[in-house]
Amino acid sequence: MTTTRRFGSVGSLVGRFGVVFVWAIVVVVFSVAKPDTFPTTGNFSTLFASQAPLGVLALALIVPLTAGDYDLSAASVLNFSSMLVAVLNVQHHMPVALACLLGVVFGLVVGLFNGLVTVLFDIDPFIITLGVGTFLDGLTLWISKSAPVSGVSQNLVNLVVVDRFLGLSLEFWFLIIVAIVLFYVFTFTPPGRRLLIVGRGREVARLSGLGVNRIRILSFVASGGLSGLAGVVYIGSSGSADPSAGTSLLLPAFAAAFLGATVLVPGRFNPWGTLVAVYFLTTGINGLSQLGVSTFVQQLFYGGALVIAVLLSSLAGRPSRRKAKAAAGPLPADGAPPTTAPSQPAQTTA
Amino acid sequence: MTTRPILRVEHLSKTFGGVRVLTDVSFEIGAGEIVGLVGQNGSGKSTVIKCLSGYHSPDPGWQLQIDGSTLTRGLHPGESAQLGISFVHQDLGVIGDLTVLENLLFNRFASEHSPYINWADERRRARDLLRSYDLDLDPRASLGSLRPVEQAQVAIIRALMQLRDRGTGDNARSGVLVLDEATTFLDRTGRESLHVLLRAIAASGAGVLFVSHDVQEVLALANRVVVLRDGRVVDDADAATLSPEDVVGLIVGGDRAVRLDQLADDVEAEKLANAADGAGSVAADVHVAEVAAPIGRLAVQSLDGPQVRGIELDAVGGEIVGITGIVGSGWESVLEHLYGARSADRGWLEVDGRRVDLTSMTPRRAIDNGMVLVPSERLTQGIIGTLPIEQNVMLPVLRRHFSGGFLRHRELIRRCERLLHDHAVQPPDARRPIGTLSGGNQQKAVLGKWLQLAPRIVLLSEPTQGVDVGARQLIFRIIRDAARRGAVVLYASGDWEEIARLAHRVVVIADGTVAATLAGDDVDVNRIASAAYRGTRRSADLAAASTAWSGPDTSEGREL
Repeated sequence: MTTTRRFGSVGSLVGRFGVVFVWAIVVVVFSVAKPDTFPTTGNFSTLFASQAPLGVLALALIVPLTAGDYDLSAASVLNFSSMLVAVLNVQHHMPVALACLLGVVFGLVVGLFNGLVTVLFDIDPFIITLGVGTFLDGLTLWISKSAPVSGVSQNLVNLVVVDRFLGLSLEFWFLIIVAIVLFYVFTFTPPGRRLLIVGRGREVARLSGLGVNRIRILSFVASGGLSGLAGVVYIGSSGSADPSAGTSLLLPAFAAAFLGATVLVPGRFNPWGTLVAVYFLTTGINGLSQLGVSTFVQQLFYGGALVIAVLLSSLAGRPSRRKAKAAAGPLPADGAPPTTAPSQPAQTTA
Repeated sequence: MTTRPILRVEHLSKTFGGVRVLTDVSFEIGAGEIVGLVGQNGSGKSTVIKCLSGYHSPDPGWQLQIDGSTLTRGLHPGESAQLGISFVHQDLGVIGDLTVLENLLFNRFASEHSPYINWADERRRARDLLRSYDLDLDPRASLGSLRPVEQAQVAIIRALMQLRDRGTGDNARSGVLVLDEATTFLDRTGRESLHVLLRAIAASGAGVLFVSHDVQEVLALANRVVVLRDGRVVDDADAATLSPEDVVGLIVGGDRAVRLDQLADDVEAEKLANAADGAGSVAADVHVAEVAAPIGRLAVQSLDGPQVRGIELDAVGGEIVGITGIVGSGWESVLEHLYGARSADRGWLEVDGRRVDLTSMTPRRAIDNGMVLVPSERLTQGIIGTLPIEQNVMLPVLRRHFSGGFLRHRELIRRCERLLHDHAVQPPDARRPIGTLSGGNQQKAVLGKWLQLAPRIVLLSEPTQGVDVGARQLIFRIIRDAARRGAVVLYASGDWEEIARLAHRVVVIADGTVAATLAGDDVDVNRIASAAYRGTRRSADLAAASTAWSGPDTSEGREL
């Protein structure tokens, strides 16, 4: 039994690297179909760099997701932060570095608000962050007067897209740095471990003496700050801010986070899996649009991927869950209806 | 009083995998009669209920007569309601977010497919029904806003409506209402107002089967009492002819010789189980608990909480103190208050002269004070089944294995596997999801998680729940070892045999207060039982009263 697990069965290998294999197949297929435009360094370097804001946003999401919470305001924070940088820098002539700093700080503040309200009032973060996100969208339209703002300092644009390292824009390397930091925190530090415990068993965490509330609040702060950073990368990569463009990244980011949870470390939100998922999705869309498929394919692709990803991770999690139940002995047999709120700790009935 | 039997059970037996848990149980309930069903944990009460509800299928040879129909097969789930048996369980099965009316109607929603609900009409009918039982409840009120006793009333009225709704609407006021420990979590006045309601329901012609741990309550309410012990009906008598002492005697059983035999069998079984899975040799050198600094004296003072009041207890290092009582008497919450898992209304914990206010206790603070808790609900509070053993077990000591900015994964795995080996966890593979272990091995791992902190105060809440006999033996050994090294062990359990075998002293809680503290030779199942069932009398009277059915002391039992 141990041997199978240690050396990995074919099944688990497919599970861990399934999306990577499919990604490779997609690359081969498009390379054959479009040998002149698809498999070129130019295409790939654009592909890798241009998706950095989406990547950072998806990484922002996996922090609260690991702690068991949703942050639906992330894309709106990105959107607002990029507009804030543009407005402050272009219209108020604020130094771009300071504007960028304010963009990130703004994200941290929104995250703190999300976390405090969710935890202190014990409200479903799904609703709170949805409301906060919509509110931010309104703010973005307000400060921009509903019009795109362009002409952001060339220094920022240079730093994000023009300057290159190993042939790739720096924004790609920013993304990699964020992924490394998250990977380090998730894997090699006690807070990362505690975050996972809080997400999987809040009651276990509480009884183990963890500051569950503090950890949840901080996870929202992290996701807010990273979303603000994603906004900075976003404005840097295009040089102008559009008051509604950023919000469309929410669904792709969730699709990448959930699809990423089926890769490399199946069953867990993990930074490298998330990046694989981001690039798998964007490669597919890039190839299909080169084949001349209309833009609606984006929605088909992202939406379909989200549904399939959630299905896959549910299937991947199933056998172990069943074993856990079997090991726990027969279920209580009251014939009583199940409780409606699974997040509530079960009442102690002896 | 009995006019005609509404329900008659004959020759009900039930066997699970060769073990007979019910043997030839027969009883009947007449129209207008309230019958109490009492017995210890494991006496077969809940199996009887589950056979009636269709959850279990009885062994062939039984017969059930209910309201004129006769069955000799098992019931299908849901069929009992059609036949005329309706249940109110301990958790009531009501939904706090819905209104009273919605709660009353949801059984009907589930069974009918009418496309249209006349809310005004339904509201009027519900109000009339509630009024006819003198219940002043607004059908539009949200159920969660009601007091617990009112919620129980709604659950009972709903069960009654279910009885009346069946069939052709001839408004037959018969059928049997089964209350399965439904009053457990109510206070005295709450219970009394439910008794009024139940008597009114019986007076209208229905039969009531009232299942409870509380002997006094049963005697106050029921016309007749059926006592189950070891799966047999040992008595079926008019309630007026029985005293609480009689009933407790019947529940526990008078024959000490038989009980000691069972105990011996149990020990034999444990030895066999150890030998069978090869854990015997490991068990011999379980060496686990380290105790940072042996504790002098621990005291709990004036502890008040939702289910307890004025709890006082004390213990010294090296002592195992049992905390027990009947289900719902409040013993279940004492450890949670001490650990800060549930907030207390008042109370102090004194450890070697240092006083800690229990109203501001949190698990973190408890751990910092050298306390650990093995919670009773292992699957929701103790472990995260999908995560590896190592991530579960090493959680409290992550910082010890974090150096140079990195968690030392290999070291964590190695330490964890040594811990698993020391606690005889099978298999000792730290990377395996903890949910794939057997219940006993999960619990040994949880004990290891906490004992590695070298705690001075070990709180254990039903640590042997869902654990096989061999693992239980090991768990006892681990607990004794912790005490021997100077820790205070507080052991809360509803299993009196277990408490009697393990504890040096036993605090029995009845009705939320300490009913008795038993020590030395007084620690035996009979004395625990009489204290638990009879409530607040002083232990001295109890000892005197209990000699009637107690034999020699069981101190040899505790050495096992």
